[in-house]
Amino acid sequence: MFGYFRFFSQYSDYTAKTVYKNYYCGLCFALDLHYGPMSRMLLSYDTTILAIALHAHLTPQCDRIKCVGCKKTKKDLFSGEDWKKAAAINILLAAEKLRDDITDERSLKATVGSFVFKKCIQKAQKDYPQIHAAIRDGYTAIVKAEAENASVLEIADAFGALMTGLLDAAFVPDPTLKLFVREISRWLYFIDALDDYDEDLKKKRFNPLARPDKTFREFVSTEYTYIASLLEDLYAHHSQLLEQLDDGTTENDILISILKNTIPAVTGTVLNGNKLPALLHFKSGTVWRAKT
Amino acid sequence: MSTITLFHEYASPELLRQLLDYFGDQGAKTLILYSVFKEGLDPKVLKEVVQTQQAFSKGRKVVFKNHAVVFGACKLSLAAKKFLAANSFSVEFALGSDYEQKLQKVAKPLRELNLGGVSSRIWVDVSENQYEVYKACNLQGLGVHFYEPQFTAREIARFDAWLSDPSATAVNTFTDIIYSLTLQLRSHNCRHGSCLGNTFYADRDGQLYMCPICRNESTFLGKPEGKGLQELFGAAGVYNTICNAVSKRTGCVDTCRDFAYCQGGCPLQAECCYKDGHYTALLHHIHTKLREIYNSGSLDGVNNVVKNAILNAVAFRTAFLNDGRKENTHGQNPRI
Repeated sequence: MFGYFRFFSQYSDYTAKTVYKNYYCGLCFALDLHYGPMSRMLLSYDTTILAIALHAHLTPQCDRIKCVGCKKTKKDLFSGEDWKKAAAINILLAAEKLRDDITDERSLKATVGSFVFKKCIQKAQKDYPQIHAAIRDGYTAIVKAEAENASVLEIADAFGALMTGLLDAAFVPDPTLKLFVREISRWLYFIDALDDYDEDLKKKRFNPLARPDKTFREFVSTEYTYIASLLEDLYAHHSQLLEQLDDGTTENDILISILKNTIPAVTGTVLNGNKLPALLHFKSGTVWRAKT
Repeated sequence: MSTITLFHEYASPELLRQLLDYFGDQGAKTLILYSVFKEGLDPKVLKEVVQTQQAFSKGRKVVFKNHAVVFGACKLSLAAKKFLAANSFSVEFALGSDYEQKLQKVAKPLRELNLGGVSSRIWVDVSENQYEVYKACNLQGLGVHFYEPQFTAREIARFDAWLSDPSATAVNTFTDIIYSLTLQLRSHNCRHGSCLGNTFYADRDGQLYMCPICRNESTFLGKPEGKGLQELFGAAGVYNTICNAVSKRTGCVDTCRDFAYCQGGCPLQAECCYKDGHYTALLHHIHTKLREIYNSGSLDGVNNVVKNAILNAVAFRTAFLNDGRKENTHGQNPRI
């Protein structure tokens, strides 16, 4: 379900791209610092958005932090409680995904993964039992809704409730940011269902959008008006959020860009059956710029 | 947002810096349409372009939209394709007037680029130089020939054939109108617009013009060095040109039902299309066809360009999904 919050560089200026990448890298460093180097493999784009929504970073002390090394600098910058919680959320959400894959598909990859990451998962569960409980309860509600063949919007609402429940368990979230997280989470469930349409049909997994007699291309070609009506519901609060987030901070500019650009652009990309762009991760080192 | 058009072959770093300083002082976010004209696509040149842009972007509200123009067909290395995709380049294969012969050769690289996530299209033109033809026809009191009624009828027939061709690739005349109708992006073909004061062109000598296509005495701004751009824009000739453009557009806002889509295009070439209405005939035909397709309940049987445009309209929830017509945006005048 994760990995849809890609950055479309044509919609963003250099500052926004840099800040986004810094949060992504910052989350990676926080995972390493608090939960060990293996946990970095669980790093997700989606938890990066949560970290940005929470304005989690501290003013950095130096210009450049590399992927490996700079231990003292990383400790100075990422030992705070907010970063630790963000890292724990990343791990616990990933853990639920692994559990889901084992239950649904008996995935060998997920089974191996849950063994490999067992230590960091257990540590995160012990550090933040309330976050773990919120995620576990939220997923239970989703599984129940799927078992009852609920509609895609009902299950999307359940996923939105999971993410806001998680926020309440971890922080004291601003109401606007809580609404933002709820709305992007609802969309996330929908886009995941859309993107996994063919694979779910093939593997006979539950998908609230899937029609047994239609491939994805056939579904999109003939039911685009139905998809349009779903999007109308999923975008219903976006105008209100765009107004409320418009305060000139770079972090909120990124959140605005997620609503205005990333979400419709990724939706268009998935509908057209195209591949999503990749984040340029593998440059040597990282660049950290002070907030201006 | 202010827009600057620059050609890599003529844009010095100093000029770029001056333009960015000027718009930065006004607090405007600046979009730079940066074109690289080259026979083939040289990754070394493109890499240099991106590095220069990154150096100038630091701390500024600027977005570069890069565009590489290729004359005829070319071979593309894997490195070049990856670089284009990673740096959001779009590519245009300029085929000139004998496009039918050259089309076969560019079809494969065009498809490869589009599949690799690089927005690519073909530029087909009945003339090697639109502006020269326009100027020549104008001097003789003729409308520009590619907007004659016969041309419009041919274009409508060509569109209908293109629409249902499953292997059809993007053609800029049609895609311009399609994206305008489905995504409310501003069309540039009505020639009745408001970009003066926001779109600039710099030639190889560093002389600035208000327009990348109509480079003549009425759009000439001069050289910014030693003068400051504010002084250039305040000159009497420039002021009069902008006033004339605004007065033409005011008429459009009140009377043209297509204004919501084009929001104006080029203000300097208004007479050649608006009064004759040939552009609007093509616009209406394409609009009617797109609405028929959308209301039919099935996107089967149309080419991928149209399918993609309609699905993007669904994703972005544009006004196309309703009746496809916005109200005239009187009171929301486009930027000048």
